[in-house]
Amino acid sequence: MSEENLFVWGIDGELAGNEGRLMACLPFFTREGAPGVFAARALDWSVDPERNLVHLASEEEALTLGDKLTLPSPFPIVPGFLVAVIGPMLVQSLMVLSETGSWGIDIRQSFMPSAEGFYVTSSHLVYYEWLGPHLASSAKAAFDQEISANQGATVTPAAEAALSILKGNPFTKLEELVVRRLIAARIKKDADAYRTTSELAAVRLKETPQKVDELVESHFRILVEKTPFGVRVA
Amino acid sequence: MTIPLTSEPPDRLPPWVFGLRPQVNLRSGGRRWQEVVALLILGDLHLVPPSQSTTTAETGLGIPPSWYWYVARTETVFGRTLSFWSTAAEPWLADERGVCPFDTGGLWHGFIKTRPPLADVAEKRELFGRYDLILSGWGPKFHLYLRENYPAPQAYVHGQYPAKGPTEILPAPENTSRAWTWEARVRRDATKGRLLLDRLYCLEEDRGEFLEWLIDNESFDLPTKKTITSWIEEHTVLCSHADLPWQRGQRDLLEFFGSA
Repeated sequence: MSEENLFVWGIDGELAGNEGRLMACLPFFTREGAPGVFAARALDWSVDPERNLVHLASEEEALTLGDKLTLPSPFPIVPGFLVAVIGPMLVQSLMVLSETGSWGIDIRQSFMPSAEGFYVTSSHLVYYEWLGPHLASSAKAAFDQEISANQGATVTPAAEAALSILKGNPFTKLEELVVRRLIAARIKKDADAYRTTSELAAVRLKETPQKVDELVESHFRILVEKTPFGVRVA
Repeated sequence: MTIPLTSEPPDRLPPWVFGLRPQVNLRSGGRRWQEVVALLILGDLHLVPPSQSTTTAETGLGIPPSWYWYVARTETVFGRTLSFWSTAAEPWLADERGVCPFDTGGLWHGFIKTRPPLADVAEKRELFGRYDLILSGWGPKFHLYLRENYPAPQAYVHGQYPAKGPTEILPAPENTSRAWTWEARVRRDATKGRLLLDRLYCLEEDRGEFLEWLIDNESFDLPTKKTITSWIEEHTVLCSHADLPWQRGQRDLLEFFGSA
């Protein structure tokens, strides 16, 4: 198959249920002059067309296997690339964060908005694996800065946005996410959320809930009191 | 005559494979993919609504509402999230039907091309009835089919056309491998406790998303959430974009037959 004039039609998956996350999907694409939709089924979709490309005769057939992205203009894609998608809730959080100045990428310039409310780009795996951690580290820093700035008195909208970005980011380290989820629950005095998060985190981290609590306490002190041991430095 | 080692039936039965295509469920019943995964893990398959096309095919072929698997094959079109299932023993009723050497939905909806073409409903039902088998003893029947149709079971896993049958089903390019992949089915109201979910293949990022969704979900209580989380931690095979779930699952199937 020619690598020219292939345009993103949709993704190998669904949009619903993924509104709050950054994800990468294999593309469904159209080829200029050819009827129907092609579905890539492996990252190296140019290597073995017989196996890795499925020709779906109609959009209706494609819709049974993936979701359409309605884009304002043809969006080119080439073999070996993924479709990176940012959900509308995550976009909203990024906007909140960008207003605080703690976020340096304008999603609206790098991604194309779809009618479904998602932002889309074609992405090499290497770029996706750069973007995800970059997003995560920015959000982590923004959350900590917000909590630190108000001495842990409240979870500001910017901190909420940062936490939301961390939750929806596949590159966020689990322990870092858990600690911030629990700090937010603690500040809000949401005991149910704290207990659920703590106990499930303990299962995932293979630690005791007590150990998880210690992690949270330690990090909270670092943020609020600026020292790891709760001793204020004069 | 010496039968090659790889054609001998293994002690273990090959897994049944279910690949998630949740958007179909979503359209028919409002379930999101995360909810479907949770229900799979809890064994509550009957709570996942069928798609309209499945119901249509079942009505047409006279099949009671059922859950479907492919026998020992992964398909790229159901490839982002996969699950391998087993039956602990032979829990089937004596006359319980549920194994067919092709995709029954594909037959009903006309995606499987045959020679001669199936002219009407009666002919579709007749072909289905001729090949539909009882579940009891499906393993030996499947291994016999592999021996008679393939030089080695791996060829089946790779989706190659069978040497002998079903003879009515045309090879590629008229059909794809789904037309000669074995399908197993069990009544939706009779799956609980009879099928065991052995493992789930998914992208690492999808696992993370699922577990974060689970924390915030309000449908399950904490003990159930812990059960699901523990299961995920112990039974998930993590995959990547460079080694997708269907590819990893296929490798494991090849190994299953290769090491049998």
